[in-house]
Amino acid sequence: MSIHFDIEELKTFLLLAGNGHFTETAQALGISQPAVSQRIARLENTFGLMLFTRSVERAELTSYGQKLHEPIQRCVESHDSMARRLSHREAAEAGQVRLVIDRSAIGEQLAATLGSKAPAHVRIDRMAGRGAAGWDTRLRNFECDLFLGGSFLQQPEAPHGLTRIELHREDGLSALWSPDHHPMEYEAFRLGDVLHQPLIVASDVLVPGFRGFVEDWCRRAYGTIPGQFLEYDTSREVFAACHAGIGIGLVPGDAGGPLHPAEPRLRARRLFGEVLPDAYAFCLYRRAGETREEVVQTVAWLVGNCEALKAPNWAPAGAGTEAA
Amino acid sequence: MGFSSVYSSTPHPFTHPPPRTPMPLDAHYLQVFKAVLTECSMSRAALRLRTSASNVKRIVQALEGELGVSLFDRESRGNFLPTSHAGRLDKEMTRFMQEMDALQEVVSGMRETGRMLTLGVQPWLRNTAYFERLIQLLQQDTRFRTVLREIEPGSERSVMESGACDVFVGLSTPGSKRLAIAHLPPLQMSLGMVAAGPVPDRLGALHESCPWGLHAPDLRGVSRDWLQQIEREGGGIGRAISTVQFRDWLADPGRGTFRAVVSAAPADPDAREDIHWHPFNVLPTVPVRATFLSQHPYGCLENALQRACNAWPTAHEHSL
Repeated sequence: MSIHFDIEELKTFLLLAGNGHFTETAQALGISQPAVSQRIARLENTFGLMLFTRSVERAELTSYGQKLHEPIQRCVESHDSMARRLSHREAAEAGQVRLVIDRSAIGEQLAATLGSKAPAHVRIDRMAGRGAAGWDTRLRNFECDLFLGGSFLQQPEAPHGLTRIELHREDGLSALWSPDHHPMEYEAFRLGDVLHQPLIVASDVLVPGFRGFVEDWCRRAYGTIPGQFLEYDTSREVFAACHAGIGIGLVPGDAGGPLHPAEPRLRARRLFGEVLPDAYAFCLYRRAGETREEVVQTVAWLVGNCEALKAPNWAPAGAGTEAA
Repeated sequence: MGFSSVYSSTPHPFTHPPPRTPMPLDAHYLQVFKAVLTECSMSRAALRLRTSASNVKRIVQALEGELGVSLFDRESRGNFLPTSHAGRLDKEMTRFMQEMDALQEVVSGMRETGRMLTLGVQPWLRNTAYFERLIQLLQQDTRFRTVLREIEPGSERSVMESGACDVFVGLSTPGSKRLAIAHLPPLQMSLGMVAAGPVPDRLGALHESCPWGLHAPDLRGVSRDWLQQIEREGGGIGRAISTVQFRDWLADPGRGTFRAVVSAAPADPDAREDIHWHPFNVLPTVPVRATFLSQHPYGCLENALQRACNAWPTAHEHSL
C-alpha cells in the first residue's frame, strides 16, 4: 500500500523552498516557527530524505529537495484545483451565486443598494485588499461567479476566459482636497501646482491602471515625477486621507458628480475630461461560457439594476442624507 | 479632524466575510474513501488498509462533513453503496491521487537507488588507514552512496546541525543536544620512522628517534598529556605538529627536522619507502565517535554504523 503525504506539509515545503526562511513561512501560514520546523522534519522522515540544509538565516533545498520540488508542486496544485472544484460544486448545488464588488466609490454605492435588494441566493462579497488573488484569477478559479469593478483606460479585450459587460463610463479624473488644509479655490486649481504635495491615488488593486497613468501623465505633461505617491486600496481610505489633509487626492472619473457624493466637505475638480473621454469604465465580469442558470439570471438582474447608473438623477439610498 | 476618526466615522456597509478555509481533503481520507468505494464495505476496506472498521467509519463521516454531502447509502448486510456524490468525488480526485502516486514513485526511486550518505571528517583524519577502512565498509552498504566531505575544525557543529553532512567521524564530538553518538572501533596510534630500526617497545625508547613529533590535531588535551608522559619516561622532548607540517614531512622526510612522528597511520603507508610505519601499542588507543542528527530522516544511520563496526577486522588494527 502506498503512503500518502500530508498536504499541509507539502504546502509548507513549497513555501519554505520559495522564501528560504522559517520565520517568513510561519508568518505566511499563520503558525509558529517551531511548527514549521516540525512539519518539515515530519515530511523529511516520511520521505526518508533530507530536503533542506538549514543555517541560521536560510533553509536551502538539498539535491533531493530540488528533485522533489516539481512533483510536490503538481500534487499541491492538483489538490487545490480539486478542492476548488468541489467547493464550487457545493456552492452551485446550493444554488448560490457569489458576486464580488470592488471598493471604488461606485462599488460602495452599488454594494449598499444591491445588498438590500439582492435575492437570497446571491452572496455579495467585497473585494479583498492587497495580497489577495486578483479578481480575474478568483473568477477563473470558481472562487466567485461575478465581479463588478472599475478600470482605467482598460484593454479592449476582457481578461482571458472572461466576458465583460460594460455598465457605466466616466471622463477623465478628479482631484480632491480638503479646504481646511489646502485653501485652494476651485477655479484656481492646477494639477501642475500641487505636484510637490503627496498625491493620494487609487492603487492598482482599487482601479487597475490608474496609478501608472498618473505617474506617466505627470512626467509627460509637467516633466516631473510627483514627490510622493500614497496608494490606497479603497476609495474610503482615499477620501479619508484627503480629509485628513495628507495630500491631494486623484481618483478616476467624476468624484463630484451625483454618483460620488464622496465627501461633501471635500473640494473636487474635474480634470482632462476632453482629452480622456470615457476613460473610467465600470463593468460586470463573468466567466465566458457560463452555463449555470442562476448566474445567467443574476447577470440580467444586475444589468437591469445598474441601468440606473446611467440615469443622471440616479440617487442611491442614503445619498440624500449625506448631501444634506 | 484626524485620519482615524474620519475613517471610523464611516463604517462599511458590509463587513468583509472571513476567507473560507479551503477544504482539507486529506490524502489519507481520500485513500480510505477509495477503499470503501471499491470494497463496498467498511470492514473489508479496513482489512485492506490494515486499520479498524471504526476508524474507517470515522474518516468517511469526517469526509462527508467536509463536503456537506453523504457519500454512501447503507444497504443490508453491511454493504455500502456509493451515492452520486461519491462518484463525483471519485472523478474529481483522480488527478490528485495520480500526482500523489507519482510523487511516491519519485521518492521510492530515490530510496532504492541508494541515498547519499555524506561522511564528514577533519582533513587530518581523512587520509588515514583507519578512515579508509571505515569508508570501504560503509560503501558495502547498498542502502547508501557514501561521499566524503572535509570539515574544517571548529565548524563541525554548524555543519552537522544544518544537515549538510549526515555523519561526522572524529575523535572529538561536536557538543549539541540534537546530535546522537555512536562509538566506532578505537584508533591505535602508529609510529612513522625515517630510519629503519627497532620499534620502540616503551615510551622511553623514543629518545633513540629524537627529534620526534606528535600529530593528533583533534586531541589537543590528550596529546599534551602524551607529550608530558613520554618526556617523563625518558623519551625526550617532542613537539605536537600540525597537519600541514605532517604533510610536509610525509612529502620530504629528509628535509624536516623529525626522525619519527607519532600519528594515525596514513591510508597508503607504503607510499614512501623511506618512512617505515609501525603500530605504536605503547600508547593507549583513542576512542572514535560518529555523530549524527538524532532525528535524521534516514533513521537507519545507527544500524549502518553498527554494521560497519561488526565487519571491522579485529585481528590487527593496522594493515601494515
